[in-house]
Amino acid sequence: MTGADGGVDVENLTVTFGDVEALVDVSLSIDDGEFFTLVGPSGCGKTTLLRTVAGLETPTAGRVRIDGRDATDEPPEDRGVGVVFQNYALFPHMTARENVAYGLQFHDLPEPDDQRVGELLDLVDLAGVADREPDQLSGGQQQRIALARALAPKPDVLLLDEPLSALDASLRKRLRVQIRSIQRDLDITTVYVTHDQAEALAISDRVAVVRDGRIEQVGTPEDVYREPATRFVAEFVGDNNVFDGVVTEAGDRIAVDGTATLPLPNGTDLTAGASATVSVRPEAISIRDRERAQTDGDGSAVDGPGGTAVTRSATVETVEYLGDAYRVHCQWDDRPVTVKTDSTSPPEGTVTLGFEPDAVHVLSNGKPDTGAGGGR
Amino acid sequence: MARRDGWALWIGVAATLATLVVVFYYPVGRVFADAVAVDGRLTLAPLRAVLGDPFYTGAAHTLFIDPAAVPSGIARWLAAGAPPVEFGLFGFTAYQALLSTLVSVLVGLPGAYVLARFEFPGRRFLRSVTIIPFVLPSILVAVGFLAMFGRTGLFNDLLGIVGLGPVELTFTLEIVVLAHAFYNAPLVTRLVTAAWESVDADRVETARTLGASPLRAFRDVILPQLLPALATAAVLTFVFTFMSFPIVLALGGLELATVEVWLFARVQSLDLTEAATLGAIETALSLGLLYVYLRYEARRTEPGGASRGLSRRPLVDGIRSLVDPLRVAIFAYSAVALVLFAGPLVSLVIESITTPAGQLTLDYYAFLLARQASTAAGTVRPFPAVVNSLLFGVGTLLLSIPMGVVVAVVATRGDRGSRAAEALLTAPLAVSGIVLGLGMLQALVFGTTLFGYRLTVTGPVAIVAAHAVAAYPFVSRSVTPALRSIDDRLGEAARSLGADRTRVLTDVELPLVAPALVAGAAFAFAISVGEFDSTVLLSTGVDSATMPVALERYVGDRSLGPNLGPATAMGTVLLAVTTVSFVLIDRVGGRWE
Repeated sequence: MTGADGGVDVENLTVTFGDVEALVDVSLSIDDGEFFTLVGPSGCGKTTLLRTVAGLETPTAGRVRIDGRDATDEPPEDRGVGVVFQNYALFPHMTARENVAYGLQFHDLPEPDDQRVGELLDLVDLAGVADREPDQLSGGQQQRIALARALAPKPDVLLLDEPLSALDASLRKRLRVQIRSIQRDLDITTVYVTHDQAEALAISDRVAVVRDGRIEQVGTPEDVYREPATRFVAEFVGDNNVFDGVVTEAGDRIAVDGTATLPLPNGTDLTAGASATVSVRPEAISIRDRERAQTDGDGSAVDGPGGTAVTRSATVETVEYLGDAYRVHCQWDDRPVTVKTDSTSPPEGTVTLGFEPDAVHVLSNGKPDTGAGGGR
Repeated sequence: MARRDGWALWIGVAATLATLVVVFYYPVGRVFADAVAVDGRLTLAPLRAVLGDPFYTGAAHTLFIDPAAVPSGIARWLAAGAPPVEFGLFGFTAYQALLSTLVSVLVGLPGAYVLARFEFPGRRFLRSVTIIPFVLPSILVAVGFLAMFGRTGLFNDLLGIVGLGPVELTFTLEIVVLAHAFYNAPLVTRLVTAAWESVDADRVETARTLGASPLRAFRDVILPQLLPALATAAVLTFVFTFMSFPIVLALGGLELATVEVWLFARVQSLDLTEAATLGAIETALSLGLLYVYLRYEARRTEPGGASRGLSRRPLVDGIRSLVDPLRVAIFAYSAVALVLFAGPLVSLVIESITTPAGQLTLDYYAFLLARQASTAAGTVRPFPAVVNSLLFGVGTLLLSIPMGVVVAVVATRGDRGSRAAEALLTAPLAVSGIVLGLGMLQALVFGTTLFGYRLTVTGPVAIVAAHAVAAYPFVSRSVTPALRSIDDRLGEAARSLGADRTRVLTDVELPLVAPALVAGAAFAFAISVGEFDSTVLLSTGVDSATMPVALERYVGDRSLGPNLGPATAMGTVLLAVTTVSFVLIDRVGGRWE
């Protein structure tokens, strides 16, 4: 997966600051026109990766290729990248229009500069405030001017570093839709950095989950959500219930601790006695009142063979109302289990949890997915 | 990003350091060398001669010539009932500096309280003008004080109206201390006001909700934030007044001579070794004090950025508030401040157009014109002095702005850079103009032999160099915060849009620091125009005399009778030129704070 035209390739990239390793041997291949998101907790190295692609940090080892050429030693002004920073970094002594026009003097575009600036102001719907200074613009307007400024010189790659994190929640959702639709229209390769996993899932073609300077998993949002490669990904992307245990003699179950067991999905190939980690999404678990569960016997451990629902008895601890659903925090023996239910009233007391064996997902026992570079 | 700065910064750093070595470190080093070497051989004789001389160190001289006799001396002194002791010239210098510091703090603190805690029309303006005394030529202020507090001055006129006086303040310690307060009380006010304004109201309110009374909250929350600022102001005031020269020379004379004045007298009588020794001791003392202070300051932690300042009370809040004791005290304080700060400048102008008997006259300005027309040798003519001052001012700008900007850039490069820059910026503060002038006289004007060539730097070049050394810290101190406040992302955004390092400087960084740069330039120019200490030593003959030097000559001029007429007239010209240039530079660039 190297040398994709119009895309970005990062090969064995290591970046250190003094004694701190911000990135360790990271390889990624981003396709032409792809919307690629780096997501991870703060301090994981995702912003460093973006800044290294932009030429704002110097790698200790490894190469950066942009549009097929080796850009590792190019200064930022020669890379053909447009960057939008978290705090927008608009030039405070220039109007919005002058900000957007600034990069054009360094690039020869076929159309006149005025026309190009006009196009971009229209693109972000801000022609009306073009002659204001940045401090007279709202946060959302500043963010869109920063986007227009980055796009004006027609860069090969658009780099966005947490561009929405300073905005309020509803504006953030509206703007991410706008950014995605502009990106599709322009068909521009885009690298987007965020700590918000929901945002990452919502707008990306593919996502890379970054942790401690390493890539944990690369894949489509669906892959990453449904098939998390590691425990970290399973817990970082969306809510999840993760259980550690040992594969039973028969090889079709996992003993979580002592007596409690969970079934493994069909087709799992694990040796008996091996330790394993499994996850079950909260929305894959149904929750029923104790009384109704009585029909399934005592309700403590009924596992139907092959595809029949699994049930477990649990007690409700706290309930969060989400508007369209309830998130219910239960105790299954002494293990916390989170369940998401769309029932119309909050469950309480002792309940029965149920889920299909196929809802159980086996994780690769916590090890990073080292072969993630080309995973599509 | 350091590796992308390129060679331009390093050339700038090298050039700045080279300039400082030639015009500052080497000359000052020569002064120190002359204090510990005679005919090229190391010796402690000059130091011992000065420190062991009761004239310089008073009762402490035994410490340097016969330390073993100290305990018995102290015992004898105690046996005699501990009579007052004199500590000689150094003792007196420290004493007057201490008094001046005390009075400056007493005068400055209420000002900080009023500016920080009360709202009234003109508050911002008043806060801004507290910087003005700092850039006024000291010899001008000295003449203003003579005009205000002299026997025929405005102060005695005012006292006469209420049936008091007259008081004779000329050549007294009181007038010297007052003039020092004129300079340094505003410094106290500025620093303490800034600290007071940075107190976070949330913290005070937290203390109050936890049960602290207003007074207790002041003691526990506000005071700890004010004390460091007050300490800074007091230390700086002490150092400045310890090294004070024109004020003491013009207001105290040799009767009340400080180390600096005596040093000047030694140079005038060409006793250069003793002068160098005095300079070395004086510089070592002030450097030591500043060093101890900087060490202390480095250890204290800055309070976090204030989210919300304390709210201000209106100064005038209805008629009833005018009889509130606190307000009455504030108005009384304002009256005193008016006499102390506006008085000397107003008197200067008034005295220049009135005779001692009180009639209007233009004789003194006619005198200046007559001097201009005079062909007698040794006459300081006013017009060339004005031209010299302006030319030297421009020269100072050309040298001090690049130097100041380079040091500011270094100061914004992380910890090591800022500490190096701090040392570079503080050293000139600790070295008096007279010591620098003496060093330059010795090292540059008299010349230095290097690789068999005799190198000399004379007249205007030496003066401009001395002015630049005094002025560049002001450029740096103005530019550094502006440069530091520029978000790195702005430069990075410009880089990603296609600008190279140079374009980032011209398109982003310079426009954003321009107002601060202009403010720094205005200060540098004002410092140059007002500089007296080193100029009076370096301006050989009358050709390179500047306005302050001319002014000092006219103070003693009695050709129009025993009055200050010629000096006040020249002072008014200097005041006008300084004000116009300051305002002009400022208007071109915008604001100053």
